[in-house]
Amino acid sequence: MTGLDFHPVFTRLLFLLGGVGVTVLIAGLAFVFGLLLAVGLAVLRFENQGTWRRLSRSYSTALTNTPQLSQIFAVFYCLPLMGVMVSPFLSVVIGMTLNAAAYLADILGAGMARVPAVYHEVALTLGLNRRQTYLRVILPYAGRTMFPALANHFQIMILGSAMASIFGVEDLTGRAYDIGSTTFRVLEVMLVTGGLYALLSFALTGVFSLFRRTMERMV
Amino acid sequence: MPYIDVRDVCVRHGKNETLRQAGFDAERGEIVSFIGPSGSGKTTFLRTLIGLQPVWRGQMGVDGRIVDMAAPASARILREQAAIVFQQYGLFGHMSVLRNLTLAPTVVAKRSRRDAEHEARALLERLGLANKADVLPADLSGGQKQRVAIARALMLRPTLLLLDEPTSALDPHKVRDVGVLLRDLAQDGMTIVQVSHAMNVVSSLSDRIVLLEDGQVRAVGKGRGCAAQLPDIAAFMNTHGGDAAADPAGLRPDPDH
Amino acid sequence: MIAFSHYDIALLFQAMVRTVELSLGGGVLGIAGAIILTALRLSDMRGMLPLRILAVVYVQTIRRIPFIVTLYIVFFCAGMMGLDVSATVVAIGSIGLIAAAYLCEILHGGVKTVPVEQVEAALVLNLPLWARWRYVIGPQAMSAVVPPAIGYLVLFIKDTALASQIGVVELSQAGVILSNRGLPSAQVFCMVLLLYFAISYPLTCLSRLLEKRIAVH
Ligand SMILES: Nc1ncnc2c1ncn2[C@@H]1O[C@H](COP(=O)(O)OP(=O)(O)OP(=O)(O)O)[C@@H](O)[C@H]1O
Ligand SMILES: [Mg+2]
Repeated sequence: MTGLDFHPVFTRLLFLLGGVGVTVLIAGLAFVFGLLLAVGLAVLRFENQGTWRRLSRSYSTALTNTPQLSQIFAVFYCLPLMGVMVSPFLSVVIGMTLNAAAYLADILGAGMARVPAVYHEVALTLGLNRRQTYLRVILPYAGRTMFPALANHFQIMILGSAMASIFGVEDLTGRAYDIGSTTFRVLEVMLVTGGLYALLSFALTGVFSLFRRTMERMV
Repeated sequence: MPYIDVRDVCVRHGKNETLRQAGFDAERGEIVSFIGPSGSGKTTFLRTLIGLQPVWRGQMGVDGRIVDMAAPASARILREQAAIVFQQYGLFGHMSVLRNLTLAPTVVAKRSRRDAEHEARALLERLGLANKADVLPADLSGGQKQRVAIARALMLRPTLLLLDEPTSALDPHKVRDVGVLLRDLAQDGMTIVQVSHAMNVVSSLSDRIVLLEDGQVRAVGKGRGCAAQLPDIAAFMNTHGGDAAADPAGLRPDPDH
Repeated sequence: MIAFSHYDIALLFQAMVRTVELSLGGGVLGIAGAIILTALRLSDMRGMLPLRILAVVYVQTIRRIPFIVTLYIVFFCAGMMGLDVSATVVAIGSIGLIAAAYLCEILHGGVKTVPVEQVEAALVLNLPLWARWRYVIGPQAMSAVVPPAIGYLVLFIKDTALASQIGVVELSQAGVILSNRGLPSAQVFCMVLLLYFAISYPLTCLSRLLEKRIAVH
């Protein structure tokens, strides 16, 4: 067994660290757009009985029971077939957005179901319309109870965004792979990369709990 | 013509007839109490008055204006007049007390936030909650929650105030406070309909008592002291832990308070 | 469908078996690891403190590293140590390492939901350790453990697709191979997704069912 040599990795640490930004960007974009889609899906599910509700449910069922990797592959190959040329970066963001929407819609749906039924009636008797009821009452209330689940899913998305490297995106894992293939120190660079992901995740945990505490203090 | 005139309300849940031709009337500034055994339809009846409960049939006169309660548009008309305080209060947990009060005035009635907050603070002050404006509902006691719920309803400036079991979660001391408050509001001309199980409150507070049984109005008592006069109502009240002839003086403020 | 030859179907089938193998093998390893880790975390012997800390650090850290990175680390570690193991074994090992951490978190959390009074009641009845677990703690923790554990395994089945990156011919890789053989990629793709769905969906339903059952009790 030959020894580990971290020197080649440390000389390229800055390049590797730049990948952290790309990772956060991918996960962040997919999370934000996924959440917007999910709000639509969840409201659809909550407000309707028939076809729309079933469609929204089926969307989540289909995308949560198949691999995200395959979904990104589908976007990666299908969009060009339809004549839309997008960068690998965008393909990954789109694929992850679609995937995130499915999971987030489930989280939102469950959160909205936990909103006390009487809130809907109170909103009615206060004269709020549907849009106002969702924007002012249901979503903000549900948002607080769902915050841990949403934050947790964002962490899962940070981990999942490592798949971007497979499509040639220069995220943290992608850059690690680059460094590995030029220096032949794959194990070393992957160990450092693993450490960076862990640090990033701990930092995010800290940020989320801080965010939560300030939110609670603000109101 | 009475100020509120509800007639012939029928509600069905599947095959069950939850309300059968129920009705009552009330003058402006009167307090009406629905009493009756559990499952007799009190809550259901109250909810029809603000369009939360679809009715099979029924009409409601408010201030001489007749509303067909079965018509889809009726809910909007009813809600222009009325406000309701739910049994579980339904205070929005993610908003401060003040925001609970100003939400509807600002986003529905489009009043300015400053104006609404000014009114809300004055109202909280009147209900003895001046220092609770910026608190979250979770940090209030049961009695405080209820007064906030009443304040939120009052912000709608209703002419008809509905309350479902306003005293069920309160200790006797607070029960009397609520009674005093409702009396005050009624004196200002607000018509109040409440569902209540607290028979001493009912007998000391009500201008009218509506006894429901199995979805039907069994008896209606009118005027102060009516509880003792009608045998049906007196019998019900005596078997439900109340004294039909209770002294309305029970509402007088406690000397040592 | 006519485009698929006998060999193609065989490849798909083998790949599906491989995916199940990865999930099952990783799951079993993970459960075993999780029990050991949880036992370490719950142990109150003084001499165990360093091991306890190690267990917590392991559980907290490994769950914050992407599967694909762990996979590379284990893969190249095995290579560096000169271990002659197949990519499949490496993948199962990696899944086991990660699953152990997640399942430990679930198990530990579940045990913590059992009220202290219950444990104390068992103690004052002089129940021995095994009986406390068998009759008091175990059954009560079960309801908080089994549904999320299955839910987690379902999540992980789909991540096994990443094993293709170290050369395991599992379901998603079989799809790539077949479409490289010139089969219509859209059809191949749908087929692969359907097969994943066929593995994952019943388990999803099972997890939901158990959750509801338990919620009723
Ligand atoms: N959504 C519903 N579906 C079916 N039946 C209902 C529904 N709501 C009410 N009922 C029935 O209508 C009847 C009257 O209910 P309601 O809640 O009005 O009674 P109540 O007089 O308020 O009773 P309590 O004193 O216990 O609050 C009950 O028999 C109840 O089972
Ligand atoms: Mg009721």
